[in-house]
Amino acid sequence: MSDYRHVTRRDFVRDGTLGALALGAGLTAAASAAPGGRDKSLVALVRDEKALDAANAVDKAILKKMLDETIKSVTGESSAAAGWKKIIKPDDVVGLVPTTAVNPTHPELVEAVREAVLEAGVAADRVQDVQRKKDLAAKCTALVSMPALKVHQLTGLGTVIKNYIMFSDNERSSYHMENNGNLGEVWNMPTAKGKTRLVLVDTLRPLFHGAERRPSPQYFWNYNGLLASTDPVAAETIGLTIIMAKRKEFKGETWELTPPPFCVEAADKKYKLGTSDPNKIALKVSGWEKDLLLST
Amino acid sequence: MAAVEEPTRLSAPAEVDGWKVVSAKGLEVTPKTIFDYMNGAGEMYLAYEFRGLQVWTYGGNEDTTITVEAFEMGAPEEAFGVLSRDFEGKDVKIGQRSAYVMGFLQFWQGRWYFRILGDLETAESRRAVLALGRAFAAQVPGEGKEPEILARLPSGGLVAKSVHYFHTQICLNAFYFFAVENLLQLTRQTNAVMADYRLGSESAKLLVIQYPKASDAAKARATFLKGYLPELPVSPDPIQIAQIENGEWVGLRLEQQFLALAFKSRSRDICERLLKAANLKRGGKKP
Repeated sequence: MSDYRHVTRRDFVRDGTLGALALGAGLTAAASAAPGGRDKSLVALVRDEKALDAANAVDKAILKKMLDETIKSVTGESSAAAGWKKIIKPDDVVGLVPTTAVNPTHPELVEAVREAVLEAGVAADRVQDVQRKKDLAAKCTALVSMPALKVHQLTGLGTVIKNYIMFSDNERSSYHMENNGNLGEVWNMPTAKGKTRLVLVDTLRPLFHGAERRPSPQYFWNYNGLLASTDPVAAETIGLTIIMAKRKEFKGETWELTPPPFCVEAADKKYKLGTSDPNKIALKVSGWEKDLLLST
Repeated sequence: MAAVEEPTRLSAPAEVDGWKVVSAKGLEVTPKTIFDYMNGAGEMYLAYEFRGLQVWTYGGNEDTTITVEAFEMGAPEEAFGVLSRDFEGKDVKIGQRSAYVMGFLQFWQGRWYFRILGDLETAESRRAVLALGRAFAAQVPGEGKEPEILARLPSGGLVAKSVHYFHTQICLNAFYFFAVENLLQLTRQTNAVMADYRLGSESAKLLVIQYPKASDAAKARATFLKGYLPELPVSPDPIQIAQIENGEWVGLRLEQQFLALAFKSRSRDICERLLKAANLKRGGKKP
């Protein structure tokens, strides 16, 4: 499906694509827990039960360990330092792209990544937060996309693919509702094209419903995780699967995501940014296993 | 030409239960600046005749805050509609209807919709959130009417917290996705209500739309049939029902300027019963 203008619910029911997942009609194949081969995109998920305290404050030491483990897992290196050197080169101009709205990326995570990039040999004046700063982003040679996992009432999902929306010259509303399928085009615009070295999704406290400026607290939960991949679509697909499982757990029945996040499948099929096929994703999970919400 | 009415301004109490307002003036948001304040989420408020928003922050003894957002909508029905996006929570009898959960209070009163949210729920912050709610509700004189179309919903099996009132396609798609295209021809001039039903072990959704004219409703039925249920021809029968690929039934009933849809049901019988029970004749009954 590449043209979403005439799409109906019945199309999803018929073709069983990611839209079907968002509508609860279901993909049956789960991402495999096997190590990634050449034909599979590796997604690393690291969780720690104690990453957040009772007041939802981040334990920085635990977060640092989680980040190190995530980088080792996603790069296959034996140390986080070696892993970061595989991702970032000392002469890179690095842009960090956290989420700032609705469910902001935890600042402790942004700071931990900045420190890791500095330790990888990049000069301090070559590392900056470029979210909503298109001109600065355009000068970067490497981007680390680090959105927080969340739904969005106008795009279905508002995490990985949507994270670069501010790099577009188009009106934000041009990507809302059915047009969320076009979000992938921003990744192919000169500001971002080919620059994303790592997608690191803050899944410490995701948002599974509502997308107000200040969402209702009942729709956040402590998942205490970090999700990472060099394939943005694979990372988004796993995030979507977690969100749909949480929504089902909350309602006791399938709770459809509306509008359907066309952006996930379109990022794969139309914009060729990665894979949305669970059969082509290798998921590597480590740490806390309770309430994983994923079949591995 | 009628003069444009200025938005009303509420006053923030200086102190409630030991929580003090940070700035009495607060922040004012207009339809022009709503996207600066809340990004794309502003689209949903504009769909309910958003006129203005005032925001205040209250600070307590600890390093915690409570944020008060007071939305002025164009009419009481619109304020009800905004709240009806999500009734989840306990009705704590503040305003005309409220929902409180985990330190978050929302309610409607007259043409106002309020959101009051504490950083972290504690016994103290809960007391203050509720006290602030009562203080702001008291500033809104009188009550507003609920949308009349609610009376078109049959009462048997209705899940009260599932009722959504709205006008346009952007809202419909936020509650239930039928199609990218506006097959039901929703506009600012249409009134719509959607709700869940539980009848024994069966369930369904019912959507009732009121169009300005009977001919508008008939046109909407035709575009919906063509785009979503092409196996059903436009027929003189007021009720038409079909089964789709996943085994669910979808039914329509056309009655003057009303179009009702029953859907997301495994039971043809439930769809038909709901369509027949919808109060689409003149007057209608309160659910």
